Amino acid sequence: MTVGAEGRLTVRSALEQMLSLFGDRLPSEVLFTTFTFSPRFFEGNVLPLCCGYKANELKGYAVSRQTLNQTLEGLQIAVFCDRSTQPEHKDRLRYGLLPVGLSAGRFHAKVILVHGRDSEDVEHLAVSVSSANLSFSGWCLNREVVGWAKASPQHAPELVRLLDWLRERADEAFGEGTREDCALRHTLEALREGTVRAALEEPDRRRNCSVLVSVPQGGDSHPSLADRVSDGRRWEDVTVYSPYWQGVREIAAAFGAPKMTLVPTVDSAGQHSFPKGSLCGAGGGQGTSIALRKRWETDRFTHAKAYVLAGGGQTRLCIGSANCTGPALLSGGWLRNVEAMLAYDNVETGPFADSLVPLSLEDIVDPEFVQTDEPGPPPLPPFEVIVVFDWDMSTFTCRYRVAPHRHPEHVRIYIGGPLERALDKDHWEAPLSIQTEARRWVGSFTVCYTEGGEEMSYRGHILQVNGSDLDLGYVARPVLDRLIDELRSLGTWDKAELARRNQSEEHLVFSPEGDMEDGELEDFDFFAMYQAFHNLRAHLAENPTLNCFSQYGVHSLQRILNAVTLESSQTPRARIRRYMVLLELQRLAASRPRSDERTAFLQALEGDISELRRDIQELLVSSTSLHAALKSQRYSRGAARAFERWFLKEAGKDG
Amino acid sequence: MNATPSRAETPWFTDRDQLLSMVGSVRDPMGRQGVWRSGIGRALVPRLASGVTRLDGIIALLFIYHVVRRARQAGKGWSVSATFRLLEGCLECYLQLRDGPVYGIQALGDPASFTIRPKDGRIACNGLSQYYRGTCRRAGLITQDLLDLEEETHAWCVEAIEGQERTIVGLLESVGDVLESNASVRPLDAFLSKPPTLDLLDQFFRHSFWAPRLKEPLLGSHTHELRFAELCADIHLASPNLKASLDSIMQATSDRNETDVSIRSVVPHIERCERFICWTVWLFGWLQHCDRMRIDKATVQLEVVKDELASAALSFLVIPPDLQGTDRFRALAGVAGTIVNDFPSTVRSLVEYHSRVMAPRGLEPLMLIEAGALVVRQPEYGPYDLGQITSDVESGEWLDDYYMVAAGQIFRQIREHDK
Repeated sequence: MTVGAEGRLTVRSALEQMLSLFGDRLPSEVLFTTFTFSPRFFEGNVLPLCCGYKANELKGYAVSRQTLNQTLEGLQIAVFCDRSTQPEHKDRLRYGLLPVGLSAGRFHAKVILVHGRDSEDVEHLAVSVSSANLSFSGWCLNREVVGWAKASPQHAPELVRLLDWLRERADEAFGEGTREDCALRHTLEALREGTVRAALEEPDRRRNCSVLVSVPQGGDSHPSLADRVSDGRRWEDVTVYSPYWQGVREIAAAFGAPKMTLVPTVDSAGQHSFPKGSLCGAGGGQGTSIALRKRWETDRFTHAKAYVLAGGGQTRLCIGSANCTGPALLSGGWLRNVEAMLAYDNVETGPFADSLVPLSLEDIVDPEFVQTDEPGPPPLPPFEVIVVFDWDMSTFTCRYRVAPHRHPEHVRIYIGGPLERALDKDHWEAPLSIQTEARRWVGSFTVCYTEGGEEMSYRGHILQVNGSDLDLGYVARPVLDRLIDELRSLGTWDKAELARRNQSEEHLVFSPEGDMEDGELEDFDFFAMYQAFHNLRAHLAENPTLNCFSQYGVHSLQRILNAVTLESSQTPRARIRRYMVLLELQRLAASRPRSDERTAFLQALEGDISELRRDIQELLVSSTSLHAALKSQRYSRGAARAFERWFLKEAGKDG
Repeated sequence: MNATPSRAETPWFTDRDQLLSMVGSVRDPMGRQGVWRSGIGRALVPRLASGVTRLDGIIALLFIYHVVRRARQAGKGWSVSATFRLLEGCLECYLQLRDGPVYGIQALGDPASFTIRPKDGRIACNGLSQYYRGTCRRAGLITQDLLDLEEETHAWCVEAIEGQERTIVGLLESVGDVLESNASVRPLDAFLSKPPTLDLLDQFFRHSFWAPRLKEPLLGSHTHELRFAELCADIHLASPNLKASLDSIMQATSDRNETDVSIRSVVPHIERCERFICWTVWLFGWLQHCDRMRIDKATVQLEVVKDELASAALSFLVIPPDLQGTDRFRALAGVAGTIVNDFPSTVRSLVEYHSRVMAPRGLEPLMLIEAGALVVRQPEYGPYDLGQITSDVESGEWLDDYYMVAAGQIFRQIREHDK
């Protein structure tokens, strides 16, 4: 038994022990798979641990999003969870998340795979398998079971199988030729390469632990997880811990042991939930004597799943995600889950086999009559739906198909509020494309439908592709007013201050949360803007080696362009403001020496400027105040153009 | 790949993770004060903070600022926080000797044995400065950076201690001695046993001098703000609860009086705001009893109060934009919108709102939704009746005071001496 940090046995301590293999406790890639996923818990607790923080540093203050995102630039983290649990969307943190689904089964594996190098540049890969979901309940409250090991050749084939299956799901979700959020597929690829390298090593005979992964495969010829738990051997006694039970007789038959001891979970009222009917009747396993035992106090929900097999002087201990149910362990049923287990041969099983006392039938309640402490699994959605937002195209792509044997009706999808479409036919091969004007991050969609006369809804993640760090909120959003203020005070800084601001994105000029009220745009100080550009021009003249087309630094035109692009341009005033700033950017960029960067920057501006120019001329033509000022009822488009040229000429005069 | 053999770790059943599940004390988990404080709460009481209920506190703070300025002018390099701490304790002792406590009665205890250590300057021991300086800044009595008196206030202070120049110089010397020695002192022995110092303070703390000067800065310069403070003094302080108080204010004011109209245009919105705030806060309390309950089941249970809750939410949504204040108000309006338009999402909306309130404080939410069920980090046990919430809301025993106690108390003290 390994005692974790703080002297506690927790899921966290398994992760901390794995992270301690790496230099500065910082690995290069981490994969988490889980059934239920709680982003708020993960982002506030687990993600900082992966970024080198210690748990006791997390209490009392929050690690800022910006700090985490900076660390995550050098660390790839991917999370796969089950889509039927409808997790909340993630925050703007630099980690990949893909909810995956099975039309008939659950993605139920709880694996952590950590890869990287230690301080002496030696490569390590460690794997943890547990029963714990990546949630507050799983990591903090429940009684779970967890184990971990440094990966070795005997682990590799199973891990590769899991990674390949996840890669297929990622390819299916994101498609080819796209850059998905946080390079999730690259993370999988790096982990796969690390796993394959582990497989090339000499097997370590002293190691007695293997990984069992169960993923859907075509046909029924593959061994079931029950077969692999029993390892094809004949056992005399099998002890099973599980919170959920189903098909117990069939499972007993699969194990083939003459004796089975079952340890159900107890609820806070002292009642053990177990389907009593499964102890008798048909269904195989008649040759097995089944006894029920209890072990746990009523203080916490026990979510652990463990299988202790003994016979012929040998033992085998399997722990992990698989409940004692048909979908988890057997291969013949309609439902088949993705599960993962760790199997230990000939280890000390005392802690798992001792302390069991007989359980009387009076203490057992059938699950359908008991309110369990743990909510049961949510219903499987009757369809598969994937929504991807492509930042390059400003387009939502929706793929949709109905699951076999399911009949949802009146299916409608809602994306970010105003976008609504009926999903009345298969859109899997020919996806539904929804163009949007708004270039903003939308995290989730909702599908409303009826099935069996009941109104239902399903909430899913919107996957992001081809987004920049700015689009996805991984770098703070620049605010134009603050950039202008910064440029206006440019002449007052000493060299050290200037160097500091040029080194990276300057946090002082960014909105902490990236939120800005549209109303704030209404008052714009044009004098300040011209003064800012005047200062910038002078600064560039004094420092001819500076590259104003770089991404960062006080002198970066791109930074100003980002800021103005991210602001609302809904009102005429806001469009005028954007137009004026873009013209100044164009003027300044055009004055710089010729280069490819200059050409690209000017091209990027041109489209927006042309479009806005048409808008502005329309505004001028329809402006009642301009009509009044010119005392003309016959104010033409040509006059509007002339007025605009005159205005820009006057406004552009320096000094 | 590292070839160093390592034994496989044997697995373990997990304990509760005490460190990650640790929850400290959390005040105002639904952020209700942020909803009303900057918007609707400031419509009629523009400057006073909730804790500012004594004119003495304001005068004491001005005295300290005056001494700090004198010390700075005399070239003393005293620590501002230590000076504040020392004089704060000294003045609280003085006020308790003369009249009663300003603030921090618990910390003060018995003035005879009360001691101050200047090195405690970083600690907000008694709270006088902490609670009163924001009001003084909004009132234009001290500068925006909280470091100095505004010039007009300084002139008032000079006028208030006219003829006491030698005493204040002596006080400055005494204060300097204590600060330089950094020793603990008993204010009663160190300062207040000297009759000239008591005389100086008696002269400075004349309410008749300060009341006319502080009236508008504290209560507001508009007629309706002063009138509302008067109503708070005469009605709110005598009312059993906020609802009764607001009803009485509506009865006491008239549609025909221009000043009253300004008040009557805000008061019903205070009721709308507070009624919905109470619903959300008490529903959150109810949810803390629903650990592990599926949110669809919790929603079904909420059906019994759906009509009352939706009515309160709808009423909240009609509060006009100029009374809405901060983003927090708009976030709560989002919850109200969900209740009205998408009732099945009510529980999710409340939990998400709570999460948004906690995030800027660097705290994790007290409640999460995991796999469609509530996970409460600090569950409450025992019965909690939703019907009770309805009757509690209707009782008018609400949670907030919209600065009305402060306005009423300060108005009473000013009225007494502003004649």
